[in-house]
Amino acid sequence: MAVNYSAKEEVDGHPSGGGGGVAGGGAVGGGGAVKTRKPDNTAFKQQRLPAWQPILTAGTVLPAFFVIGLIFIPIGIGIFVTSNNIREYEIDYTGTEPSSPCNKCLNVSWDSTPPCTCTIDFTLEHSFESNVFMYYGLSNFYQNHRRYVKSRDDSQLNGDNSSLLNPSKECEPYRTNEDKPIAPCGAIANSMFNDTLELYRIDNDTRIPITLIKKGIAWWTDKNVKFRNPSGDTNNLTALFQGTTKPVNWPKPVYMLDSEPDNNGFINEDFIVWMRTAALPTFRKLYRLIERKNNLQPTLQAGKYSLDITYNYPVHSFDGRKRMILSTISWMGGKNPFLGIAYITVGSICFFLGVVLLIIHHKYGNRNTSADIPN
Amino acid sequence: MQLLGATAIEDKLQDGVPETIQLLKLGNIKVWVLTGDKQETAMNIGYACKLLTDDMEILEEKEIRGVLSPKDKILHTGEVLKSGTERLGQRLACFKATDPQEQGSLVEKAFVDLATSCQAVICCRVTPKQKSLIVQLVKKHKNAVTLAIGDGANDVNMIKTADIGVGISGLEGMQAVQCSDYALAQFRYLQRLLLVHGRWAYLRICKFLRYFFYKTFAGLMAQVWFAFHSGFTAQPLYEGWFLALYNVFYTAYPVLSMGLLEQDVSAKKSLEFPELYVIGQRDELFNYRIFGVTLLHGVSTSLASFYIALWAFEDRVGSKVVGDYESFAITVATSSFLSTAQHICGSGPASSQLFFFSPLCCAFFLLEYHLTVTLALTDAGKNALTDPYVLLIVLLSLVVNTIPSLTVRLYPLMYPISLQKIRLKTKREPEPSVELRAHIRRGSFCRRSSYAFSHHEGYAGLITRGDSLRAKESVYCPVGLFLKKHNKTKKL
Repeated sequence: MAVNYSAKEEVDGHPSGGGGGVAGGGAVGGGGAVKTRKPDNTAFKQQRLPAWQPILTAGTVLPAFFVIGLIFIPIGIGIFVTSNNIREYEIDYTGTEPSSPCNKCLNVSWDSTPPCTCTIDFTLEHSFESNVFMYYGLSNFYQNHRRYVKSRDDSQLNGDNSSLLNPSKECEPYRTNEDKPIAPCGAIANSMFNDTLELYRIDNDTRIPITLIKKGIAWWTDKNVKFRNPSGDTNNLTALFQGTTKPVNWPKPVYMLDSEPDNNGFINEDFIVWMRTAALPTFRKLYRLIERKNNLQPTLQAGKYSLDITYNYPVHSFDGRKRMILSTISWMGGKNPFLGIAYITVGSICFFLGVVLLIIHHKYGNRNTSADIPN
Repeated sequence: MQLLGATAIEDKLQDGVPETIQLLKLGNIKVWVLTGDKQETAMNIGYACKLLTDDMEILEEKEIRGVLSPKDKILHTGEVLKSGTERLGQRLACFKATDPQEQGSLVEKAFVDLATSCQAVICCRVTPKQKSLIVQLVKKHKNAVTLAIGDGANDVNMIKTADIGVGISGLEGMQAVQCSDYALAQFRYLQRLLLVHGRWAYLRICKFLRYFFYKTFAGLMAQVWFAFHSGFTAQPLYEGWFLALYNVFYTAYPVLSMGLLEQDVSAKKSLEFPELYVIGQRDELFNYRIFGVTLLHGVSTSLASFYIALWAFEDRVGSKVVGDYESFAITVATSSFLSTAQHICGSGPASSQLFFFSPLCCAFFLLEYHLTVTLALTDAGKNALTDPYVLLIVLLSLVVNTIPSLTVRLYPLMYPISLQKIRLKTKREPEPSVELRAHIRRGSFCRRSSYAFSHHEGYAGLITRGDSLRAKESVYCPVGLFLKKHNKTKKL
């Protein structure tokens, strides 16, 4: 210990006579024979990193309240007005009420022949100006059930030939039927919605059919990337699906979903829309598009209409409900006033809070602006 | 007898000892001195390091015995001590430590109560075993954290017994250092250890815990709310990779950097205001109430994120988003994640440059992840996050989650408490970084108080005035005179 005490000048510590000198620290000068154990004097190791402290003062926060209020209220008004301009019409055609035309189809089974049909007449009060989207909606149908969501084979739907004939175990119990693999397997595919809806305009007792477009209702990536038919001749899908059988509750096999080859098989757009599971038990899915013919006439004029339903899909056993929805679309989607009202509410609350805090700050804050620290 | 000569042994106090003890006392830390020296030396050292001041009343051994020994007084320990504490500036000195076990635990308790009601305690003639027993005594009867600091082999016992043991490496060897939890080079570094690093460590741990619970609840409770709408089938709302990486990757960096680098006030201000240390002693930064508040905040954040998305989606569709499960999941995930990221950015004051970017980093990775093509989420992420409706939902959730906490934190600013005042003052006068420098350079003549005499205090003033050191010709040598006058010199 005496060796280190040759009274060299250290950087900041001094060799204390009364014990506790920098004996562990080592000598700095003089040849550096002793390795110094002093920690590095860097910003990181000495905890001197540049810091940014957002100290909240009234001066920084109160303007933020006002700004938020002033931004949110116009946004809310904009969204609300947009939503109000969206036209929407909904018909519940489950048929539970005895007076409903579809009451006779209430207890239909999935394979009843001939299929039950019913017609519902309705009147549109206002005309629908831009492109009209036709949806079918289901209620109390839990497409977000855990076992249900798992029950699919994405590689089979992607056109993988080995998965076509050997579907994954997740599809149980809808994996095989009579020892033949099911294509497409799984509960989601099995429960595909298969009602047919047709729309007619009633004009002086004549029924004019309205053109319903069935292409372009699914996401582009779904139709072109995620869902692929098995590789081979697209014109002869029957051969491609050789060795598989239709899902249990389907009336027809998958290669007979549509006559057009680019809407048949796994890439059938109704099928793809159904396979994109909904988040909530009450949902709607896009069924058809009604395009505007020309700019002079509205897409759907106000007046009488008639909806022809081929009621194949039974929902009464689980207290489900079915409906058809006609709706126009804006940049924010369908008609939902919630977001507009929420924005207006939050904006006003922020503004009100800002005002209240400003009043409090003026009354009581000024006497505390000088930061005298009690000692 | 012929006087041949005189020897004197100087055992100086280290630099900065009085200041350190002052600071510790201001930080509501009770300082006891346990020494093997005799009573007079111990008292002189007490005066020298400012543990004792002249206006204090000293209770010596006989007075203490008088308080503690009568049996009936022990039974009314509370009342006896209450009257005792009314005397200001009372301090206890030099109770010769006898074996406490002889006197029974009631006397022990009475002694500890009496001692802790005093401003300072000095125990003299203490053997190493008794040092450890005294520490045990305090630990047993008082719900307090004990720290023992020493530099010699005779302090090893008490260093090992105390909750925190600090060894000073120095002349007396390395035994104290080897058995200690912390090793210092000088006694004065203790103030930095406790008031700066100890306080920061407490702050960091508390903030880390609060934020960890908050982010877990805010992020993942949404799945519980989703269960109400999915028929309680345990369908996860978030996608598998998001769940796996949430704690590991997305929220790890802000939490870690807060736990490692957080400072509420700088080191210099921590030393200037030792009162801030009391916050840790009173468990003010993490207790049941704060835990409950954090829980509530996390749950309300998750509720807001989930239900705003739910009611905005309903069964309506966006222009590209179709109300499907994956888009809904992405919306809720983004809003809850951004809310938690914003919370740490706004609530964690000291953000270094690295730390500031961490929420942005995490958001970027989240976005990147959602944009990469995995078969399960093909295009859903890109679809959802470029849809203006979804972005508006996320913005609304973010603001709804921020406003309450901002309001709650703003309200006390109307009546700032001392901590905020200190930080406000610091903000206005930025200070340079702190390096620990010696207070006084050696060799200067302004140090006076390190001298303690084994004898009565009487002649200390003579010496410490410095006349003898300044006078060039002086035959008058008080030290020698002192020794000459008193034939018997007491051994140190």
